[in-house]
Amino acid sequence: MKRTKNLCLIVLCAFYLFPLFGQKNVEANTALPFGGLVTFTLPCTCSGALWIWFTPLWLGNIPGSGPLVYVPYSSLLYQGYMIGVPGAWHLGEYAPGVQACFQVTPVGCIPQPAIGVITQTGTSVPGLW
Amino acid sequence: MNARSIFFIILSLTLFYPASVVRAEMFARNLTIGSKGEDVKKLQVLLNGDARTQIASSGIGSPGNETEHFGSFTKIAVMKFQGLYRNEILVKSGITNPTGYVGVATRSTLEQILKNKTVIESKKTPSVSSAPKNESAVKSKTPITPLLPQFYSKKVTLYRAVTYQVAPKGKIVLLGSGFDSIENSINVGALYTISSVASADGATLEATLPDAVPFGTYELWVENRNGVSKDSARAITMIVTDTPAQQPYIESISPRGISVITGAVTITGSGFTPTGNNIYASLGNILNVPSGDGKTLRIAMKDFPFNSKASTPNTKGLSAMIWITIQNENGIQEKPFAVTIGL
Repeated sequence: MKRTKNLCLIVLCAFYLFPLFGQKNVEANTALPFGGLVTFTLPCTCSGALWIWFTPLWLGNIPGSGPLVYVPYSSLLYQGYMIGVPGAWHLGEYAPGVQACFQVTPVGCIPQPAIGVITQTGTSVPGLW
Repeated sequence: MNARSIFFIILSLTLFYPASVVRAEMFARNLTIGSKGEDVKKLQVLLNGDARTQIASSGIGSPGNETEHFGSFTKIAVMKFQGLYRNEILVKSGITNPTGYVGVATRSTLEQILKNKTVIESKKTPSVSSAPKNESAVKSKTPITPLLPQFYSKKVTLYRAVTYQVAPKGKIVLLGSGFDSIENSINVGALYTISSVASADGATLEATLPDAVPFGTYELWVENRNGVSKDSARAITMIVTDTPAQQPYIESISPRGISVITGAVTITGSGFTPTGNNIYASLGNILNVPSGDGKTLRIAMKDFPFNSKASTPNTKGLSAMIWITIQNENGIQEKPFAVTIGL
C-alpha cells in the first residue's frame, strides 16, 4: 500500500508540473554583456551606423576579436561618449545576431556582418580615464 | 478499487491532461468586419501590442482607445498580422494572400501569442499564482527585447537587387527594410511600376519583371505607406538583359587556416570579371582586383587596410571570424562568405 501511495504521489507531481515544461522560452532574445578595446571602425554608409572592431573583445571569459555595430539614436550611449574611438574601452550589452550595418557599393548596398548590435555601452576617454 | 486501478486512473489523467483541460479561449468565434463584442476589443489590444500591426496611431482604435467594433482598420491590421505569421496562418490554411478574416488559424496564432505574453507576465510577477491573466495584464506589457523601438523603424529602405541582372519576365528579388506586408510598389526606372507586391518579412520583395521593360540599366525604388526608398546619394540599380550574367560567388578561400600574417590568399569561385572586382571585407576593402580566369582572385592579407589592427600581442593564438563580399559588374555576391582567421 505504501508503494502505491508513493507512486500516486509521483504521478500527481508530474500531473501538476507537466504544463510548466510545455512553455516556450520567450525570453531567449536577451542582451549579453561585452567589453573591449576599439582598434578600428568602418562606416555603415547605407544604414547610418558604425561598425566597430574590438581587439581584445570579451564576450565571455576568453578574450578574442570581432565587430559589433553601434546604431545612433538606438544604441544607448553612456558616459565617456567616445563611441568607436580607437583606443577607447567599451563596456556594455549587445544583442547577438542582429545585423544593422550596410555599406554602399556602386550597384547597391552590401551587408557588413557583425557579432551583434550594441544595445547600450559606456566608454573610457583615451588619455584621461 | 485496488491500488493498480487507482494508479492507472491517475496515469491516464496525467497523460491526457493537456488535451482534456478546457482552457478558456480568448477568441472562441470567427471574427470579421461587422463583428462586435469584447473579443473584438481583445483582438484590437493584441494587434496594438505590436507596432507592425497597430490599428491606428491616434484616435479610435489606437492603443488605449480600442473598441468592440470590427471595422476596416481592424481588418487591415489583421491582414498585416496574417502577413507577419504567413507560415502559421496563410500556409496552414492553404491561401496566398491575407484576408483580414479571423478564422481558425488566425485565432490559434492569436491564442498562442497571448499565451506567450501571459507567460512573460507571470515570470515578471513575484507570485505566479497571483499573476493577472486577463486583458489588462496583456495590455500593460511590452515585448521583451533588448532593442529600442528605433530598430524597428518603418522607414522604407532598399538595399539592393539580389538579382542584379535579370531577363524580361524574370524573377526579381529585392532586399531592404520597412516593406509593407501587403502593399508595396516597385519602380523600375521612371516608367515602369510593379504594384501590390507583398512582403512576408518586411525585408524581402519578390516579383516578376514585366515583359514590357526594354533592355537597359534601371534605378529601382520602393514605395509604400511608410514612404519612398529613393535616395539620390545611393542609387540601387538593376540591369535588364536577355543574357543575365552570374553574380560573383565565393566557393572557398585558400590556404586553409589563414591568419593576419598569411601572405598570398586565393579566392576561388565564379562570376568574377577580368577587372573591377571589389572585395568588401571586415578588415577593409580591396578594390579593382583582376581575375584572369573568372574563377580566382589573388590578394594578400596585408592588402586589407585594417589587417594589422585586427590583432595585438595579447591576442596571439586566438582567432576571429571575418566576412568577405565580392561586387563587380555582374552584381553582388548573394551572402557574405565567412572565414575564420588566426590572430
